[in-house]
Amino acid sequence: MKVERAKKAASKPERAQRDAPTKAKKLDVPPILLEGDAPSAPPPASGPGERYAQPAKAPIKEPSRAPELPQAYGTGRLLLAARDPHWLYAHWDFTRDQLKTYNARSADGHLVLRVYKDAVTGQPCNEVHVHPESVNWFVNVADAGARYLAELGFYDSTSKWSSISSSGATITPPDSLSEDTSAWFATLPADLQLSELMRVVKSAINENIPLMEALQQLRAMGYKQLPDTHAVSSGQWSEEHERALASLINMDTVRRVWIGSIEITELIRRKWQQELFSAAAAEFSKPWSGQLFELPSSIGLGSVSSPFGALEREKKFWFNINAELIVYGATEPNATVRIGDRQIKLRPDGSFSYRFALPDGKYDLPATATSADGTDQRQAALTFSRKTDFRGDVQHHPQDPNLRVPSPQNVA
Amino acid sequence: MPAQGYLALILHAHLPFVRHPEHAKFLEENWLFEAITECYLPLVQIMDGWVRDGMDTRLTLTLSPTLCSMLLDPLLQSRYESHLNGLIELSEREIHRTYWDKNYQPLAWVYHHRFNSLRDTYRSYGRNIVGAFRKFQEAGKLEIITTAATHAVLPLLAEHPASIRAQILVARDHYHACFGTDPHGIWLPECAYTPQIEPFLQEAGIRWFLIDTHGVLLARPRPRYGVFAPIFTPNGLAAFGRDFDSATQVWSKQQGYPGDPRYRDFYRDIGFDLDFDYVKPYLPDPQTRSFTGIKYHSISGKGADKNIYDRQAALQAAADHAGHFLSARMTQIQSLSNIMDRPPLLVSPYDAELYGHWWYEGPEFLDYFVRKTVYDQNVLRLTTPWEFLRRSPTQQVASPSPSSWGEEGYWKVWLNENNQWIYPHLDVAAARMQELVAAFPKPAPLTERALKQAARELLLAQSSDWPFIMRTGTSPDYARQRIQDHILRFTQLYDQLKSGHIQEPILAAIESSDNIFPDINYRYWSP
Repeated sequence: MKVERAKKAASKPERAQRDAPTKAKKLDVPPILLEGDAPSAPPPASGPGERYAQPAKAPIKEPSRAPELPQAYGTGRLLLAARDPHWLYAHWDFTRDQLKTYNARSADGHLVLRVYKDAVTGQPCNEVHVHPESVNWFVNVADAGARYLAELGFYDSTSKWSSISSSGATITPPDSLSEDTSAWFATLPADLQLSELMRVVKSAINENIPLMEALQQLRAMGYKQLPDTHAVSSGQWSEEHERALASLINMDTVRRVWIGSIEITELIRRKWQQELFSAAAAEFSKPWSGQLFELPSSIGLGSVSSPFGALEREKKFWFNINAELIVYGATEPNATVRIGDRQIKLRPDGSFSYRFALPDGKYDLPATATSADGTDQRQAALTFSRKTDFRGDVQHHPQDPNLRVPSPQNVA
Repeated sequence: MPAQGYLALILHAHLPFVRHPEHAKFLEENWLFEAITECYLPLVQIMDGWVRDGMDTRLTLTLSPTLCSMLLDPLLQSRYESHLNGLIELSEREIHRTYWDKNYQPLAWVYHHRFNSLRDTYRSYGRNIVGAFRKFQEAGKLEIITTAATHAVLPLLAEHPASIRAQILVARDHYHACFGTDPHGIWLPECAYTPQIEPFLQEAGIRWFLIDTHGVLLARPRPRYGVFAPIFTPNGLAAFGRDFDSATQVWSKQQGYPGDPRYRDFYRDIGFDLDFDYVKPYLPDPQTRSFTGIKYHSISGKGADKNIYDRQAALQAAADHAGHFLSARMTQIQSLSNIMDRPPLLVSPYDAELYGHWWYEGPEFLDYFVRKTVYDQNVLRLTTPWEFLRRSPTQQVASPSPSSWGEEGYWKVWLNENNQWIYPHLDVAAARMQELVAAFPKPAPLTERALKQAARELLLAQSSDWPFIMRTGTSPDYARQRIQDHILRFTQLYDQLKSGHIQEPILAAIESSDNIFPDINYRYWSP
């Protein structure tokens, strides 16, 4: 659809130019007013790179939707977020004009993103020379469980660093077990209101310290109304216990199978859609089959395999044939119609229509219409048969929706 | 005989807020309709059965604020009932269509009975599924927990603590309005945890949350009992870690139950198989083939040549798997209780939509598993995290590790090359919301309405669903459009508030479309 729209847009100038001479005699319209919005076609490529060149047409444009989000707000903020133990995401909010101004002041023509550990001082641990038009970057960092900050700036012609913006701190998550195996157990009765507890703690201790620690301090100070906290002696838990538990759950196992439920399911679903689409396209080759799915083409699915089985299809000659039967008719809207042994529902105008699968065999279809007052009745005894001889591999599958009732007129 | 250990089964029911009154039919509203038909109503039915049979069961269920809002919305309720009526009509037509095809007709009847039964249940609760679950909670069978207001990945809002606070407090308020009490637990969206969330959980009176396995294993100091006991964070909140074995048993490629060939195939649907004109009236988008919910084939069989679904065989598979799952948990509990000096706890969280939507027989699996657990053994007892904390108030103190249950364990799913472009917009909007609240300490009624709507638009833009969908590529255009719409509406309101010229008709139109959180407290964004 998008391609179609783009083609129309691209052909518009041609039409305009073709029509221009006849119109020009009457109105003398300046040619520029007859041109479309699409840029004019680039000159045809030639030489060895020709087969890689884009076709000589206007680039595909999204249909115009107003309004659009701004490309930037120009706040000058540098946002830094740890995405995982070893990757940071940085974004700087500068408009194109702002970037152009700073790039012009930079000796390299572009900005530099510096990443520091703990504080924006000393030697940065990463220095990334970003593209002149870039406004974000994913930065690989060495340390998990570490505090990072970023600074955006540039080197001027004297190699002097000029800072434009600094970020707040972000902390990469740890990725290893803690060496600290000390155990502090505390009791916090579920029925105690946390807000009440915090009020008591805040009134007694001015410092902003975590609740559990504060409770411990208050108990040491003799507050009796607080919940009991107590340490468990380390003698109850040996290294043997620890090893035994580690055999049941450990980080190596977890790392081997990162289970993100929805996303895995979604990826599986997409893979299936793609396979189903391929199979359906190969199988039916019908106009509607192209409407089955709109699949993005750029998603790497190679590493994802479905636990729900997989569609496998060999490339070979194939043949599908099937038959369906539609029975339809009409009577008084308030009449009762039975087909076979079931009463059917009439449309408000008294008509009805039912579609039947028709496998091989002989079938009788008695139909009866009875008037609302029960005094009139009409009956029809419909008989059908189907017999198919298969030679070779012939399949039953969904069929061409254009097939009609198997009547002589339709067969002809 | 007392149980040797405990199992907390947790289902997370969440869908993004999708409501389009401007269209008579809207494709993405079908996410809700499919989930009601395949997951939520079947769950209500099996829980009704547990209550009817006087069973001592326990289950924990997140009902996200966005989901509750949609389930309670009169427009969507009405649309859902029309959708269900359509399914009943289609199944009726299928009974006729398959009159001579004795392989398929029994299945058409199965669907017909099922859809009618679901409609009966829906009507018996006055279309109020939220109320149905509230009844189970009040009966002590269910612990309902909340999640962030619009399911934002909270660690990615770390630059804006006011936004984290608002996501949590708005959710708490909404929970109170739905269930008449405050939540004890929260499902952190995507199980995404960072310690910066904790002060706001404390403020909301929330006592426990759930994190993925490595969030507990990598805690500081190292938790003695791994994920088999909760830990108290230094702030006094209990963190429960996901049990890895029970997760892999459902999800594993090799052992995962939903892949059994006897189960119903998800993809082979009459919406794709039958004449387009025939199925068209029952499709969510009449121009595009898609799922109707009537599927006649099992997973088995290679290629497109699937076997016909055998309902009895599939139910037997669900019973077999329930027995296997229970047996595996009993073995696990017995092994752990030999090592631990306290009864171990297994926490098994799943997306609620797995049970019924992706795994059609999931509700029956759940039913069989709970019944077997209650009647057939004494090794383990079902519990909820809150009940467990009441029973076991002494736990180790440790700081959990930032983590999520997404691919690779952190935030990559929601922050990557495909979706990073949304964060600059969310960043600016979050800062502007604080600016607005500070600028209007005593707003006039119209200004207050605009502030509330700006808050709603910001929350809706922050939903984790949009970057997730962009990542998976399932409906990327819709996700992009939603982000764009909410940011633009927010910006429009921001500009009008700043200029002092609020255009009431525009505001009213936005209010009518994005009508979530009618009583929202925008002051939660106070700087």
